Amino acid sequence: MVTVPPLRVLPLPNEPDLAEAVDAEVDDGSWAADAPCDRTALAALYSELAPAVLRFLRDLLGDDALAADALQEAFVRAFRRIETVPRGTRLAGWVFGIARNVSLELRRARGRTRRVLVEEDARLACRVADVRARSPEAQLLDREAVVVVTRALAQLPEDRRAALLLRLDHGLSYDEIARAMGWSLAKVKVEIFRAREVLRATLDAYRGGVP
Amino acid sequence: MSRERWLDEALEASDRALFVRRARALRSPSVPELGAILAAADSRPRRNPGIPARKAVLVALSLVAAAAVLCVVAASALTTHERGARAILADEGDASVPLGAAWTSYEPAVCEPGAEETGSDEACVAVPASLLVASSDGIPRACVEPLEPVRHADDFALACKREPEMSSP
Repeated sequence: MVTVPPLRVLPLPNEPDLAEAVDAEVDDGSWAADAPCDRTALAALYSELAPAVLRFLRDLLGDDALAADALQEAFVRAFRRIETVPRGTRLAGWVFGIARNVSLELRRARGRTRRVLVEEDARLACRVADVRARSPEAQLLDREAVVVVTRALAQLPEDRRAALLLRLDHGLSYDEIARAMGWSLAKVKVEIFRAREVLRATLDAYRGGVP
Repeated sequence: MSRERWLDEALEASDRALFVRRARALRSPSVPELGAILAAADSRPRRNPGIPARKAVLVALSLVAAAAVLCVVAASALTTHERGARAILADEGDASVPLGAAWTSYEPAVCEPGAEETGSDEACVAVPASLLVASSDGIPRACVEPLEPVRHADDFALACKREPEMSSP
């Protein structure tokens, strides 16, 4: 009987560091809080967690300034409530749940009913980091990822988009996503499955359209 | 690990790689200083550690909603009772009466004993007191002729029975 080893990432040419990056994103033990949940524990995670939460909020809200406000509000709430978190709770999932609630409140407050995450490719290009240190091929692939993911996210309703981001971008488990979103485990799996279908369809369409 | 699960994990890893590339490509956002966040958290007034105001409002709203539901149910029950009082059926009578002939409804209802008819659009129909059968639910019922009230020997309850015909020798 042939046993298949677990595959963490698909190997990509000339990108030996990508597998490490994915593993670091998913299995980073520093986000698992077996230690008591207190301000010190959360403060120790802040520098690592805050950029990820900000990216999550920017993906949900589609507005940099609004996302920055939401980030501050989310962490203020988190620090005020940290003593209520049961010991052993993974703080990352808990903070992402707060961030998602804050984003919903901000959207309601601003009366935004339409999808806000529609960005032009040109604007995306301006936001791409300075990657001169990377190879031209890597830059092209990164740029392609920015365009494809953003297009796919723009097609998704807010709930499904949040679930997909928490799973693929921030590496939360299905259980953590269920708690953060207030959903059943089955609903989380269904929503993420459908979101990934949209992502793959967008990727296929993008590759088909590239000459 | 099953083949399906392995395949699913491989696909998910491929999808996740896209997000990793994207995160790496986008500019690393600048976040507020931790000190500013902590200061903002400390400067906010703390709520009463008892029942949060939001929960209290929810409880109050739930109580009001429950009271409203009870009112609606009570009003509905009263209406149903009034409607039921208007559909008065005579007792089935004895088995010798063909089914259907004995079941007759009065519309409008049978009047309470002693009540008078009030005109063409009367609220109730006057039935001879000799045909009235007192029922356990307080709604006056009447036998439909040719049935007549007969008191049972065991419990003295009135029921409608056909008057036994006189047989001629």
